[in-house]
Parts: sequence; structure tokens; C-alpha cells
Amino acid sequence: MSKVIRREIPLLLVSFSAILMILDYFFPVPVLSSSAKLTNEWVVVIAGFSLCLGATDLIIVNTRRIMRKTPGSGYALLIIISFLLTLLLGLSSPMTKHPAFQWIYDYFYRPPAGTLYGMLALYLVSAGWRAFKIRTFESVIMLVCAWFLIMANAPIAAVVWEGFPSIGKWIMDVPSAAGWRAFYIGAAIGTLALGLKVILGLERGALGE
Amino acid sequence: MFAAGRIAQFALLILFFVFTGLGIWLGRKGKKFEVRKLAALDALEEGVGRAAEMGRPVHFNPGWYSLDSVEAPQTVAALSVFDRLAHLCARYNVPVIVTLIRPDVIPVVDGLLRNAATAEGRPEIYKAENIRFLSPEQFAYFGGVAEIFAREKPATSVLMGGYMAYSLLVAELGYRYGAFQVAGTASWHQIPFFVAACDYSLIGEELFAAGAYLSKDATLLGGLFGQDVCKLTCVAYVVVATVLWLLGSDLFVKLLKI
Repeated sequence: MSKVIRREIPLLLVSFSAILMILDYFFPVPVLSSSAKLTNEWVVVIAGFSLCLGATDLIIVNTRRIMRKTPGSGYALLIIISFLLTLLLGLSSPMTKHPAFQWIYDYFYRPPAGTLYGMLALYLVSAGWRAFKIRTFESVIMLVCAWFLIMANAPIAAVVWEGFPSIGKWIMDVPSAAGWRAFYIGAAIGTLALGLKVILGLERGALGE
Repeated sequence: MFAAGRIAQFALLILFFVFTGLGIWLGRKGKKFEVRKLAALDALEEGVGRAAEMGRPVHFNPGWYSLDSVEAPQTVAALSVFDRLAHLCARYNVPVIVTLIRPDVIPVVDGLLRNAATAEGRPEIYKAENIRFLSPEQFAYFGGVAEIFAREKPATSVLMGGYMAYSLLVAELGYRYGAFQVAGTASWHQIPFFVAACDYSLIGEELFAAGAYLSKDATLLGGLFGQDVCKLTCVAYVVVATVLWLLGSDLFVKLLKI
């Protein structure tokens, strides 16, 4: 019975929902549209519950760290206080529009988030430096293409030689686009095949079988 | 009866389902299929072995997307990889820390981790606190992962699934802490980052083949064969359409718009 509840019923629900969505996409029949809409509403409700699950997990894990006095448990306390404070302010009237809630978002969250996003540029250079080390013939091609693309995007390049922008555009429009399209087709077919296996209940790796 | 402009899409979908189904049927009938080696998946054992030798944990992240998004197949494929990783970690007595962005994945990861620990005869290695939902915001999530890397220094980091901009931040973080890194994604704009920063990478459709590759299940391997037939069909269509286009006919282009 336990296996039926834990494995078979979820798989049946997944198959049913997937087939319903596929049929709704292709056939504009009112009964299918309304069923698909209802299923989507259920998804939103379940996703809401899963957020509660996430919040519970966050509190439990960090409370355990505080109680066990593991290294860095001060940060765990800070996480719990910040979480509860933001949650309370977010739920205060007017919901999610409370000035203090907005202030926390604008002055506590956004600056470090923006900084981390900015750090991507530095990490790009660091990763690019390692990737462009010439070890094979392929890495030579990659380096040459990258050099042309950098030059095509640098404002000074067109002054140095007017051919740089057109070569860069050609690399992006022809060999790069061809490669990406092949990649897209492969990934799309992979998604379809995996979807079919999930619908048929064959792909059970994610269920631990 | 059909939604406007979707007849060709439906026909292609049915055709692809038939090819994949045929492959699955052949696999079930006992036909043997050869699969090329996927170094990234073979490297999982090496990564866990390294962690066991160093006495440090393994880090895993199943990507950005939730199970109800259009990119959910990537998350499902990532969880198939995690199943294998969890078994290896339990076998070698290595703790695995799972950091999450999407809370709906928590029960699935919990079930996989618990099952793997029990199946490998080490139920005591399962620890609920090793499943850590950090934040649904990618940069706040990265802050949490950075703290885990600084404090617990995982010997191996496995990043699988669909990714956003934080992919490079996490991969570079792992590199800086000297972690052995295995990654895989079908998010096209993140692939170059993983290839540059990680030791092994699964590219695009390889991620979707992970479940079949790791389980060696004949039925699933048959599905991979069906997938290859679908790809060859697409290539043939593109070649014929291009030749006809050069001859002045756009028949094959119009066919797709029916």
C-alpha cells in the first residue's frame, strides 16, 4: 500500500497532468481548457505550500546549528532573525508594500545582489583565462574566435580596422548560430524523450528506483 | 479541431513519440544498445572517492528550476544523477550537502537521500540538516553556498540541472576552494561557464541521457536510441529543406507552419 501511495499514485498524477497539458495545447476544446486551467491553479497552490516547506527547512536547519553551537552559529541566528523580521514586515498591511519591507529590500538585499552580479564580470575573466590556455587545436580556434568577438564589440576596434565588426557578426550569425541550433534541437528532443519516459512511468531515477 | 498552426507540431510530436517508443520496445525485447562514454558521469565515483580520502563532504545542487516549470525535465534529470551520487556517498560513508533554490525539490531529495542510505546499509549517514534550502533568489543563494564552502570545504561539487547567472559564481567558488567539479546543464547560455570552470561537464542532451546511462536499464537505453533516430530525422529534414530552398521551393518551410 505504501509503495502505491509513494510511487504509483504520484506517477499516475504526473502522467495524467502531462497528457492533459499536451492535449490542451493542440486541441482548443472547452472541457480540456477548463481542466488544464484548474490543474494550473492547483500547481500554484502546491507551489505556495512548498514555499512553507522551504521556510520550515530553513528554520529547522539553522535552529539546529544554534543549539549545537556549531562554528558560524551566529550567522544562523542572524538568518532566522532576518527571515522572521522580513516575513512579518512583508505580511504587514499593506501586504508587501510596507515601507520598512521595501527599505530592507532596497538597502539590504539589492546592493549586495547587484555587487555579486557585477562580480560575474571578474569571474568571467578568470574562467576565460583558464579556458583560453592553448593546449589543443580546438582551444586555438576558440581563442581566435573570442579575440575577434572582443574586437568586434570594442568601440575602438572599428577605428583600428573596419573589418572587425563584420567578422565578429559573421562568427555569431553563421558558425555560432549553426552550433547553437544543433544544440537546441538535441536538447529539445532530449526533453521530449524524457517527458515520454516520465509519462510512461519508465524514468524513475528521480524517485530513487 | 486543431489549434491554428499546430498540426505540423502535433504530427512531429507523435512521430518523435513513436520513434522513442519503438526504441523503448526494442530495449524491452532484449536488443542491446551501445552508449558512448560520458566522462562526467563516470567521474562521479572519482569525486566521491576523493571526498572519502580527504574526509570532506560532497556538495550537490539540482539547478535553478522548480518541478512545475517548463525546464522541469532538467531538474528531473539532475535528480536521477543525484540518486546515483547519494548511493555512492552512502557506500563510501561521505556526507552529501544538498543546497536548494527551489523548495518543491526538498521532499524528493529527502526521499532519495534516505533511500540511498538505507539501500547501502548505512541509515545513520542520512541527516536531514544536510538538505539546505538557502534562498529562492540566486545571489542570496550564492551567499549561502559561499558560507558553506568556507566553513565545510566540500571536496567535490556536483552541479546539475538548469542554471541562471549564478552558475559561474558557484563554479568559480568551487574552483577557488580546490573542489573537484562535475557539472551538467541544458541551459545553453551557462554551458560555456561550466566547461571553463569545471573538471567535467555534461552538455545539453547528455544531461537527459544521464538516467539511462547510470541505470544501464535496457528499456531506457532503447529510449536513447529512439532519441537518436529523432535527431537523424531532423537532420534529414533540414538537409532536404535547404536543398529545396536553394532550388527555389519553400515547401518544407511552409509545412512546419500548417
